[in-house]
Amino acid sequence: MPGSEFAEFEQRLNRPVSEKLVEFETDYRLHHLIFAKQLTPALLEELRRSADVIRKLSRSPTGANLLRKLLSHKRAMLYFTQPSTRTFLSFMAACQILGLTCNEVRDPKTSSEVKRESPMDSIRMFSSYFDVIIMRSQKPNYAECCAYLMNDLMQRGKRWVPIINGGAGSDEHPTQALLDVYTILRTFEFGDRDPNEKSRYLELKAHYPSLIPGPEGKTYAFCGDIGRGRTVKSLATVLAKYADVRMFFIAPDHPQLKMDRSLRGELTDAKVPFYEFNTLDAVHEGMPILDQVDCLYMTRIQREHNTPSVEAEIAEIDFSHFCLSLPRLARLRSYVPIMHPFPRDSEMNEIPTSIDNDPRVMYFRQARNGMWARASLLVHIFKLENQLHALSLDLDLGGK
Amino acid sequence: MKTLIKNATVVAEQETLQTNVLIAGSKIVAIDPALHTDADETIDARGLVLMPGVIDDQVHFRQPGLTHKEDLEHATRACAKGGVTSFLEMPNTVPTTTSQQRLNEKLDLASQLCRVNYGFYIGATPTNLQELKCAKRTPGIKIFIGSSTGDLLVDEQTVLEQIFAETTLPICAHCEDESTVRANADRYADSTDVATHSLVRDHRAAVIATQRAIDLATRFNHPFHVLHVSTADEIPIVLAARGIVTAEVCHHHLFFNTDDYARLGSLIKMNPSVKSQADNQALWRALIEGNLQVIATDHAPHTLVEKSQPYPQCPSGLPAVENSLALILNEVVAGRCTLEQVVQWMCTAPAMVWNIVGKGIIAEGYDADLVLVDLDRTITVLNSNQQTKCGWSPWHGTELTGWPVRTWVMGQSVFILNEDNVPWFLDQPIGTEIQFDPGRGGYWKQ
Repeated sequence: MPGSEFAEFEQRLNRPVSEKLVEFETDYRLHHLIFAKQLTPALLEELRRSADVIRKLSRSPTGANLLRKLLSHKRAMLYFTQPSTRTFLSFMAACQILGLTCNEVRDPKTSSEVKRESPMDSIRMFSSYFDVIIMRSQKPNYAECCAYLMNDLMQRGKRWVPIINGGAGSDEHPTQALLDVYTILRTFEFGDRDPNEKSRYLELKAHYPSLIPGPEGKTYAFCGDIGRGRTVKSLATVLAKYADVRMFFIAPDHPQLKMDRSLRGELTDAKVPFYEFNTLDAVHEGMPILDQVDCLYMTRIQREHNTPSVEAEIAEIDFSHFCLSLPRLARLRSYVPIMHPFPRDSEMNEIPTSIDNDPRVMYFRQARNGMWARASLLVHIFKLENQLHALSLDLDLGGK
Repeated sequence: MKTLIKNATVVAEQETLQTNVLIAGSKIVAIDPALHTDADETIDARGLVLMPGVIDDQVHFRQPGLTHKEDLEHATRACAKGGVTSFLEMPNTVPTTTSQQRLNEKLDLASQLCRVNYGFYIGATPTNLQELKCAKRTPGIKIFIGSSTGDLLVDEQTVLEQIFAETTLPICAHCEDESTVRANADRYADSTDVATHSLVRDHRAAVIATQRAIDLATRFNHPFHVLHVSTADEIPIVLAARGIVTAEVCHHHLFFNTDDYARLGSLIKMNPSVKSQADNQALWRALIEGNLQVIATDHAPHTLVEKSQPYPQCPSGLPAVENSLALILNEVVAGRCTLEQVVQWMCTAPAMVWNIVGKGIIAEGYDADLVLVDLDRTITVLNSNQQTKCGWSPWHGTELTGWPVRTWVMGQSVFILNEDNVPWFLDQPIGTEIQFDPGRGGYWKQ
């Protein structure tokens, strides 16, 4: 029972997320990232700009060297006691890009937990050796409680360090939402940063007259395991803050798999129109939904959490309705990013490998974007965005 | 005439404390919690905050020549109401303020009309270098780098270099790159949507011109003030030139962004344009982290008829002086910044940047330019309540908490807001000419 382990934080834990956000930022800057809701459009725009600069600088040896000096005086701890290779490596790469030294704890048995040390003591001990803790653990709410611990230390004028939630337990996975949105922001810029070049956007607009650049005014479709896919929940919550968006959710008609009450409530509160379907071939307002979407987010059906009875029910479902076949791909508009948090299911085949070469495919680029986006988050947390942009200006001017 | 202000929370030079402040004539003569003295007027200001009068270092008051939009009488009444006790006005009036003679004429006019203290910049043109070199009675030189404002546009590199090399007064500039703006304007030539304005006057235009001006300032080691920084991208450029360059941010770039065009349309068409929400946040953060020094309004009124022309004909500019302090105090009440920071950004820093004598802080011997502020007072900004001659505000309908309730200029009460929010004004032009001491060397030398 997690309640007993984190009893001292119980009152703070049992509040709506919206009441907690203010405690994780000071002076228009995050000092911890715990919830996807902390990612506002303004912050995401800032992180996009920083990630773009990091990406650009990384291309040249000079730029990469400058980047490595930015945080060479800081150390990061990757506390990843819940198995995860992808997120772990992505964070490690992000740290390395910025010159952060990183160390890891991946097996809780190697820490003093076996000596009956409390999890809060562990984190406070770790925080004395490191300047940021990125964590993913089985324990629900562990990252959030660590953030409260750090806030209490901060208020008493004691040493504290930022906490980044690396997708702990069944909690949220805010940096996944960050990299997803970064991918969306980049895609919907339509490669259109240089006013002197012929605009891809103007070409697209000739075919799709109502298309506007940016994440606003778009239809986002999510397909697969909507009920248990935390990436879908986090991303939908973040996208709901952009103007004039609507959302399609395509999931099997099963209580575990379709949209849950909390997401439905979030979107209703945010006044985002959303529609539910049980096949990718569904029709909405007289038109196939695939003709209408601007962005398609596919997910895997998470069978590993199933109880035997649920597994039996799910075995009855025809999952071909939730797979992106070639004929379905052909319906999508020419600019629609096809995203997937990965891994994909090689048996169910929600995304067949045969479409991997389609220019709309984003899932591999999404992973690479994760590295840039996480690096930009570290720059933000360490208050270095001005120094970062100054590096880029210096490089543009040939070192001045 | 002696005035004793008792028991206010005073944001004084060294600390904020509850104390008594005695004004005699035009000066602050004593700050003392134990003070008992006879005064002509004694005010019990318990529960209120006393701070130095705001110095707005960028306004356009339109007189002479454009007085259908605004004039010195209306504008300075608006200043008194807003807690602004001194202003520095820009040279793009008609005629432009580009010579000592025109400057003297403007100062004469001001002495007959202004309810608060006044100063006027001298404008650079491609041909008035001699005037700029020996200008007196002015805070400094204003250059429009790449923005078409009649004969004030200076875009030739050699002329710019001469101005930075051969003049001694501090320089400030409007930085938007003209060739970038023109290229963007061609690209969006067909658009009649006012939101296009932010695509035409985009980030790049601001960044290129700011970088160019700051390069000149550092090369010639010339004190330089970047007016209305509007983008996150300019902050690192300004930061890299600390020690010689200071920067200002305006309310509309802190509070408005491109999302607001849908609601406010051409009312928020400004040069430089409003940018994104991310820029709003970055500018706030830069203020709080000390990377931008000054908040000013760029008060630039046009009539509503002028503003309601279709894009791109509608002119750029909005009025703000009478709400500028309240807008920032509202942030204090919301816990996003402190009173001391507000005093630094709006009073102390502008006095330092422009070498103003005797203003910007509450200390004995300083001018009695003071504002009494009620942080519990909530008022909705309404067009019908505006003192500015143009008669509207982009914040119409916005409820703000934290308002000036009394303003003193050189020891004289010029504005009082009673408990029913009915204003009283001293209807006399008692404002005085602001004195500058360029020998102080600007913000970084003091």
